[in-house]
Amino acid sequence: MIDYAIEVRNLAKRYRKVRALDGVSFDIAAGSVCGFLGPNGAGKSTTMKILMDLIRPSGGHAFVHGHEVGRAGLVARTRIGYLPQDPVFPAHLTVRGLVMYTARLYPGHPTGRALRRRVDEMLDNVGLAAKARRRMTGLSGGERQRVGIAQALIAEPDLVILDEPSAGLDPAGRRDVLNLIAAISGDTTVFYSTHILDDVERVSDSVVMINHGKVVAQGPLASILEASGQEYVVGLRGDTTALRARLTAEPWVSGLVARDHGSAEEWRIQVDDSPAAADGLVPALASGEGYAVLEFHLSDRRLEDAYLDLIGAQSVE
Amino acid sequence: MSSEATALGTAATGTWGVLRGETQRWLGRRGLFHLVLWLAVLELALYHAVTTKNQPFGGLGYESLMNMLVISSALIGIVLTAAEICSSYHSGTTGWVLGKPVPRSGYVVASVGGLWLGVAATTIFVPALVAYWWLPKVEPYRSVTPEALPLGRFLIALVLISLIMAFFMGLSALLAVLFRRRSAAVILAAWAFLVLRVPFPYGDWMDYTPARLIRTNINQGGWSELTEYIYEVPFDTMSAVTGTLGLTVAFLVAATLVFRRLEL
Amino acid sequence: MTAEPASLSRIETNHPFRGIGGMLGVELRVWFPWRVLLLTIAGLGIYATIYIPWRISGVKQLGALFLWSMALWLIFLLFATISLSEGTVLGDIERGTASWLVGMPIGRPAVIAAKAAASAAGVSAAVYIVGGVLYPLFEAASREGVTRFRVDELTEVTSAPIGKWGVYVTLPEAGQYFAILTAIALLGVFLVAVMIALGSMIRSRTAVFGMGLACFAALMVGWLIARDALAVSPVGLVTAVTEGLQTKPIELAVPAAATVASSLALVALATWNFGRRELS
Repeated sequence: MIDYAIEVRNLAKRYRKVRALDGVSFDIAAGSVCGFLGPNGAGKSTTMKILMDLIRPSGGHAFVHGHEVGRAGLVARTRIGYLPQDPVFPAHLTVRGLVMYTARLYPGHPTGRALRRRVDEMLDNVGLAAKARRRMTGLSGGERQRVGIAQALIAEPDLVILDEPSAGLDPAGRRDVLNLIAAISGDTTVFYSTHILDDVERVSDSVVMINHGKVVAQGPLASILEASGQEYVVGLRGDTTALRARLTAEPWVSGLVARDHGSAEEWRIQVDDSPAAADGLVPALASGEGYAVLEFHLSDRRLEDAYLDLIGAQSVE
Repeated sequence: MSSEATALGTAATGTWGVLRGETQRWLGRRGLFHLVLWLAVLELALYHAVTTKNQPFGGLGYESLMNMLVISSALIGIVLTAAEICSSYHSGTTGWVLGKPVPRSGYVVASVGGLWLGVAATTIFVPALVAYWWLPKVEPYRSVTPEALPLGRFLIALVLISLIMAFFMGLSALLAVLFRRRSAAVILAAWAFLVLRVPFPYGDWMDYTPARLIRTNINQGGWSELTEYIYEVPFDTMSAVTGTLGLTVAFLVAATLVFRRLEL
Repeated sequence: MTAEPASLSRIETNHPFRGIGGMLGVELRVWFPWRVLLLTIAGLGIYATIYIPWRISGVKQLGALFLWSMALWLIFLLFATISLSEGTVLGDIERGTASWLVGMPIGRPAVIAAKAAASAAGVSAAVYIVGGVLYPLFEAASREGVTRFRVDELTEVTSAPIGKWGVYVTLPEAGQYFAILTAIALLGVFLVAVMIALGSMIRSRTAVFGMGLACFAALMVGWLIARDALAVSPVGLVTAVTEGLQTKPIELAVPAAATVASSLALVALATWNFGRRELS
């Protein structure tokens, strides 16, 4: 039986006439790393704020480690570390002061030297040990983000919810965040939102995609990529008119994008039936006349491709 | 039982953490700034009031002190409470803290409580005790009352002033969470202070508010209840004390009820 | 290569007050209508607070109503001005709006000047609106009860303070009343200038508020202990208000000119500070 860290059932949120969330349902298995994807305004932050009991849903239920948010939100938050989007921390606190303040808000926190040691260790992990005594007002945006990650992890939570943790970070900072996520995964569930799909592919086990307040895809990353279909890259020279007409008529071809490269063309042929494509594409290419095949290979579909297919289709609808 | 105990324990830990954080702020630059500022302002103003020949203030040292403490602590408490709640709300700091296991009601109470402790120390107790030390050393007190008045009663009067300040801070907190606008909360709470302070009668119900404690008939040579208490006049305004305490609690409860419905 | 003709737009771009028109429009909307409405309601509320017990008290002496209403309105207005103005400069800096504004072709002096002008207009409007509404109410009240009396003729002391403001208290003539309102408005304008100057120098809004309150307290203390020596200053306006309320002749021109001059100097100081300040 799978232990779920997050269970969301038909979550809805309305702001007057605007439906920010409309029947969102998904589950996140404990110990997994789940990327929460969607365009701006899709409802990602709204969902996370509901999980953190910062806003009330208009309908539906959400559970964190079996505790219903709203009824037992306080107890649920004892096991959550949270980093909001564009966090604003009290200006008068130093970096160390902020992380210590956060640690003391959780029951069972270490005290005295043990607490200081833990805080120093965390600051070292996020690369801010040298700036521990600096006030929050004296930090850059990226440094504030690192402090945010430190305060989210200081209480060794079972679930970490991060709203765009890589925002404002330089490439080294992004790499450190990903390494941190990878290091804590397994023991800790990580549920994070981001626009950087490469990061999701690197560290995530599963993905939830949301658009216009509805879930458009969810599941293991590999399944998402597979379900989004395959793409063949074909280089051609010559008269390809008849070939194009033939291929676009095939039922296993879901899309064909042609790009000119001087006298040659590059075709990207998206297929949604891999076996049929494997049987049919090569003979189709070989059977025609008036053109030459310069290149032929199966392209690795990236998460970005799947995302654009799913979110782009939604946008058109 | 175990989840109840866990929830209570969690709430206590979170509330205590916020209270501790708030009070620690007053041990640093903020506390020093307020201490120096209000010591300078209050002691200088009191010295002038006591030594001037310009009536009606001259000579009424303890009465002037009580008046000044009531006015300064109430207004400072109103302003700082509204500023703290509104700026934290609008900047997003409140949302960040409440993402931790901190109950909303505990957050309001701890924030206001920590502020109350800091303001009471820097605006009431320290300046008052400094004045208590030097008032008997200047005329006209040096010749009339060479010994200082009873310290115990003086301290209790300061506690009552702190309670009055808590009343106005509670009101300011309620207005701040209702309107989420600093100026509206400050202006309305200050207006309430004026209503309770001016010596015009509105009815017997005012005997259950701070009005009974802080009003003064200074033009007719009368003292406020607080000054009379220091001069060992029997205290007959327990109704005002209990009423003030009850209203303070009511304001804070109302503020937490409103705050629990706020979206962050 | 042809010489580029002298361009009016280039001259405008370099002008320190470029954009002041637009800024003024934005800042006026901050005060009008809601802040002015808030101050107006507060002023009328203070009047009502004094009027109700005055109405039911035994002796309806005008001074108790008029003097208390105007004195409390003055104190309250100045306090409210400090409260409303403490975030005028710092609020924008903290929110990041200031850096966004000066990132556009708007001169930094234009930002400060617009804020000062709009705040002064808002405070003044509130003073004249409340004052204008109250004058006929005072006139009506003066017809209700006793308006002239001598202290030694009174045999019964009521809970309404008679005051040591003067034996005879009548309503000032309209011209004198308008002069009193102008003095109050100028005091408000002065405090606005103080708050803007403080906001351009200090980094904490609470500290700005505290210093503003200290300035207000200094005005009152100055009036109490050295009003003659400080006649050529905003303290002279406080004297003008208190003397005017007692229908004594008032000297307004000199303290008004001194107040306007000091307000302008404070705004100039704020402009200089804001021009040098780093906005991050």
